[in-house]
Amino acid sequence: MDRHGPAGSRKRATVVAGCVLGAVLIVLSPQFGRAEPSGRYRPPLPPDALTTGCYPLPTGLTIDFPYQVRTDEDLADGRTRRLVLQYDEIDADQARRDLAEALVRAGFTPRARGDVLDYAKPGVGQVRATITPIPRLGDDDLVRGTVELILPKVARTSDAPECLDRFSTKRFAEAEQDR
Amino acid sequence: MRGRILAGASTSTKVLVGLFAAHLLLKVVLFPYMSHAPLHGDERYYFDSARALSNLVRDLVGFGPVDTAELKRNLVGNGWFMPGNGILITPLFLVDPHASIVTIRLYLGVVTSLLLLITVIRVRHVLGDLYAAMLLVVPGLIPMWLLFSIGGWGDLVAGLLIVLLITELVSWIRTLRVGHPPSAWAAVRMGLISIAVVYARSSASILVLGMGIVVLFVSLTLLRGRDRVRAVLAGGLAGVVFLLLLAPWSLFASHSLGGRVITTTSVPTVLANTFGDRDELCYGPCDPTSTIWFTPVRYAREVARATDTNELVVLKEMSAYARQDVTPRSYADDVLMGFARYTFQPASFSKDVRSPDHSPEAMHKFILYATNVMWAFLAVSGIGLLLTVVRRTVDAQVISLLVTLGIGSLLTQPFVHIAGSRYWTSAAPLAGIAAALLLFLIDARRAQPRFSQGTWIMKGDTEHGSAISEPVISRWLTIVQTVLAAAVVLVAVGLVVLATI
Repeated sequence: MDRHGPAGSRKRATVVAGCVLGAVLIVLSPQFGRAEPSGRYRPPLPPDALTTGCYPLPTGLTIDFPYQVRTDEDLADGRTRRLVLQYDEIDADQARRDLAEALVRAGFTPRARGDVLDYAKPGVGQVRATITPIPRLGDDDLVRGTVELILPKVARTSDAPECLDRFSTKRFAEAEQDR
Repeated sequence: MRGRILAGASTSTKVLVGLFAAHLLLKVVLFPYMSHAPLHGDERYYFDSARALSNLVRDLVGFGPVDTAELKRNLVGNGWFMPGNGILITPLFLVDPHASIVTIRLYLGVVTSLLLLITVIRVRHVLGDLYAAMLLVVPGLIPMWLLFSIGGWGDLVAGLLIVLLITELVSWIRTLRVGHPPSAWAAVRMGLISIAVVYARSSASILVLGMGIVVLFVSLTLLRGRDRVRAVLAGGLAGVVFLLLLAPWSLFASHSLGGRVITTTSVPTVLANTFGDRDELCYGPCDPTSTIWFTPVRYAREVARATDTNELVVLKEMSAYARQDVTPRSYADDVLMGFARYTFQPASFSKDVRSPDHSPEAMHKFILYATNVMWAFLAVSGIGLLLTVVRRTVDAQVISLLVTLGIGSLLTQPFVHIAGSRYWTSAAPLAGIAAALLLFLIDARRAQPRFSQGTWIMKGDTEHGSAISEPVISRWLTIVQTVLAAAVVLVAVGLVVLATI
């Protein structure tokens, strides 16, 4: 005897039928093909602009502290390039020391002493770097300051996709012009 | 034919069937307006998550390797949204993996109408005919609500599930008032509906948490001895079901993003974008030519790569930095602006979700005006109930308290989030319940009340058996409602004062 009466057994029959249908569809689902999600709602991690070699730094120059490139653009004089990056986890003095050493290792020699690092290398040209701590940081903030580099302009070395991806090259002004 | 089917039915059943038919008819009429509309915003995520979940089922059924990279990218994504609506849409992609946008919207239209039907049946059973009928009209006949019901967002589904949760709570509290602990099945149901609400819209976690506290408190006060222990155990069982079903998401999202995720990762960026200085979010401006949501994530991932940490840590630091200049005044200003967007533009999406060539201007106007009028009625009812102290029956007081808490907790959204003109769909069904309750209360003052006798059955008479007498319960419910109404007024006045001084 069904203590829930005809309505109860009808309800149960519906539930059982639904479950059976669901199970059959699940088992058959691979036969219908595979869905293709677009994956477009997760911004990809763009390749680091300075490791792709698309717009390289002067030969031998490396950035040896943690950083992320923020913008890169050719300046109106037609000869120089302005590359802005942020340094992480270290203070401004450390960033300055590390950058000065890297410049020397790459064969650059200091031109003048002052707040701005000013170096040059025969056959390459002048490199200037201004290091500015970000104001009002908390003690735990990973991002600590900004380095503005004025470098000799370089041409794009390749038409590979990453060299045309503005989020990788950070050459937004150029991308805007190309639109 | 229809007459024959409903021949033996009561007037109220006929009215309810008629209203549901009107809901379906209006949905069919409105369908072409949005059926071909290209994906809008977060819909992309929900459909992608459903596609990835359908592939997960295929992989599991075929005992093949699971494509975890696909799941990480499409199901977890940035960890912003829980895949409630993704799960809802998965069956479609199991059968039709390449379903067109029209098919997806058609499927969603059917599923949301079914969910409305289930909710209405349950509301009729627990609260009565008047409440069921009101839900079928508002939001059931609001044009923009009907359009949202064929869209991929979870807000509308969450709104209906919240009403289901309220009906569970009302039954649960009635059981306690009779002096019995709730059954294990009731506990499991409560847990299932609660987690479904959170999966559909993680911002409703505050509501679910609040309701959990209410249930625990009522169990502890109304019952004594062994029954009290059993009631608390039932609450515990509901909690266990909730946590067991939350765990797969939390664990997989945490694993994917390399940091702790419980429901959503969006809070830091949301706070910064709502109240902070967007030009400082990336310790300066973020990358241009992208959205205010994507560009901080991209930056956080770059910093995480450089510093060998995870993006969630970076996002929190970024948010704190961008919010340094938030003042009480700027905060109050932003909250009020959020409320304005939440409340005053219910149909603003109607211009974004038009099918190319299928959305005549006259229809757009109809959607706009009808939605504005009907939502205004709902909003006034919802706010009206927030400010009303019900004294009439304990049952009406319980419903009033739960709906007030529900609406109140949903309205926390503009305090923490940029409010969009989509979020009202989460509160709309609750506001419908509020409207029905107010109508019931107004009607009950008449010499011959219409809704408390005869065809329009109001549920809620319970024999008494709990440890506290009904008049005492009623007194306490009056006090709590008064405190809540005063709090609402205080917060509203406080906001306006802060924003203007």
